[in-house]
Amino acid sequence: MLRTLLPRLPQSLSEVSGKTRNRHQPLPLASGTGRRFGRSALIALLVALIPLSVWATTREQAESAIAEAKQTREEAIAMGVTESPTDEMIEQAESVLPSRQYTRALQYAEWARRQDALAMELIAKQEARKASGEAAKAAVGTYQEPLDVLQGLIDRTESGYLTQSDQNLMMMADNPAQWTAMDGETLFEEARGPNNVSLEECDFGKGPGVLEGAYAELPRYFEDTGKVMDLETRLVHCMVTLQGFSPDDPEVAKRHGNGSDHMKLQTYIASKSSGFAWNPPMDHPLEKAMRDAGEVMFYRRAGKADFACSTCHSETGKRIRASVLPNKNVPEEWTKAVSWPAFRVGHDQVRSSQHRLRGCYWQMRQAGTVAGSDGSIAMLSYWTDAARGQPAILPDMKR
Amino acid sequence: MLKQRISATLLMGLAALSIPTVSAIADEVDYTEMTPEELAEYLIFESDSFKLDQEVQEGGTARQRMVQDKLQKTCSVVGGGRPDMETLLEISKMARESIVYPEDGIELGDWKRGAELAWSGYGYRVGHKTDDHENNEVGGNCYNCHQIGTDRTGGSLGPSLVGFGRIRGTSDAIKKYTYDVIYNSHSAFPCTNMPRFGASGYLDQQAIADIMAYLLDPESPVNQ
Ligand code: HEC
Ligand code: HEC
Repeated sequence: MLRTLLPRLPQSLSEVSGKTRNRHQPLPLASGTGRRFGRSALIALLVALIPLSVWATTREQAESAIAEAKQTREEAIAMGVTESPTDEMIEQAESVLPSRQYTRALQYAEWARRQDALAMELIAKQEARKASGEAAKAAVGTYQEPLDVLQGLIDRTESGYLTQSDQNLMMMADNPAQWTAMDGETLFEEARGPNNVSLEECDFGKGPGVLEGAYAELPRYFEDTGKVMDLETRLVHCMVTLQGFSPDDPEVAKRHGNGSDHMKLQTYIASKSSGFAWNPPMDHPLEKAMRDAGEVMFYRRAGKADFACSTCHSETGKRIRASVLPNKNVPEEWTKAVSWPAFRVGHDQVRSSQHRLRGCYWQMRQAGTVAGSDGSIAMLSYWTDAARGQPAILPDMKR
Repeated sequence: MLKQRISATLLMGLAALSIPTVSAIADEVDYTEMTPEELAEYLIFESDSFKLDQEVQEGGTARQRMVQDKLQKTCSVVGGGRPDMETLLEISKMARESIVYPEDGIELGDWKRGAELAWSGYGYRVGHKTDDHENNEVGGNCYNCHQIGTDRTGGSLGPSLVGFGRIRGTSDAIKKYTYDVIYNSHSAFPCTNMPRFGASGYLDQQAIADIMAYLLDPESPVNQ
């Protein structure tokens, strides 16, 4: 199907040559109906575009351009670009030869060749993307380095959000959050608290001590508390019930900053889900109820500025100032949005989901959230569900 | 009141089931017995999930910020999209009726101050950090969503306003239109994402006049 569709009409020569195409700019999509031009419209436009001020072209040049266009046409047909206006463009080129409009002929031929080249490039790209998509799908459910996950997502998704910071992409291999995770590993295994036990008996939903993929399935319902809990709340639960800390001890109470036990532990636990597809369970009625209430909250406008989360996160490629906003409706993009803990370059700190949520309510000029509250967990249930099936990037790096 | 209704529903639910589904009960209420809308309201107002008692800049507490007025409620459509045409027309009528004009007519203020106000995102934030309006003026956040001048990067949630006055002119009709959109954007665009800067008391008359000058004054860099 894809092969019979006409690529978008090139808007400028530089775009046609493919040399200067901005990689943030969406590729012409085969399904973009608004972008399909009728042949005659296309040809009329091309005729109008071709400048007539170049004189010195010879018949030989024109003829060799036509030959080249025909050659490319054949290659394109071999790749499956069957329905294309290039045949007509080549005909046009040949038809103006007798009247010595060699420049025109040359340019028609050039347009035809580029048109086919573009179509072939498009197909090659889409096939590559499909292949990497398949590979990424096959890998879901196993550990993958955060940078590889992100690269995989970028390869199969055109997203200005995913690619907005070249600098972050480059620095990702040295993400400072990795050090935070390593500190967390030590803390996790250390016998601590009044009860002098480690967190290795803590059940994050997949059994005591099982961390692989556990975070990708949070928030979830826990039998022992009768509640839907997110990572932070579950961690508090274990620190209090297993290790015997009091909720007011700094180990439990201090939630933010690189130096906090919480950020270290959360980053470590989460890092064990890198590459796993988000898959918060919806089997228990409470899990479903929380997710559904979170959805209502996501679209609920209130506050001094009438904002809802959806005001800023339901369209693709929109920006607040220079920041490209992630779209909740595009899971390939949203998975990065909800991949916390992440090192926030602007804060020079590793930040949690709860921290991000608090920040967004603050921006909305609504009331501040209470970490670990059911309201906050309902929102996290919904936002994780919206990324379902896409691999988590943990720990991530953000602006 | 809501709480009472919830526990009543809960009791009925339990009675009907006769075997209490203990595990499905979080604290004293059963979330699974509520509609998503009921649960969302419960979570926001009754579950200690939000710091509702914090004082807010306009007086009162953050609780009132979370209560939806008619427009906010009508324009919140779960899953996205907009209400039907009839409702939209009603919203825009309501919005037009909310607009209060300056006593001396709509005048353009000082575009230089307007430029700063259009850029600034300060104001009305509460919680872990609370904006102090004594220290800093309340800005309009316009650049968050609009490209306006060409010297700074603006957002793209709203249309570009570069050259707004040059293109639209400064007739009384345009001044009124611009005033209306800033005062209550829903008058022209029902259920728009743009905040109601006048109707909600976000910006005062002087701030609106200055920002309007930034958009419309031929001297303003927006129109160069
Ligand atoms: C006024 C616009 C606005 C509203 C409303 C808003 N956000 Fe955001 N959100 C942002 C901006 C800006 C960022 C940061 C993006 C960046 O810096 O690249 C962001 C970031 C995020 C992120 C992380 C993505 C990242 O790259 O940092 C998540 C998740 C998120 N918001 C969720 C929400 C939720 C949930 C709500 C409602 C409670 C909400 N947002 C409301 C503007 C908004
Ligand atoms: C949250 C985003 C947002 C903010 C903040 C915002 N706007 Fe808007 N604005 C919009 C959107 C969206 C539209 C288009 C209306 C629509 O289609 O919903 C718009 C439309 C407008 C228009 C009409 C444009 C036209 O072509 O007729 C003007 C004027 C305008 N805004 C001015 C402002 C000013 C001044 C401010 C700051 C005080 C501001 N806006 C802040 C989102 C915003």
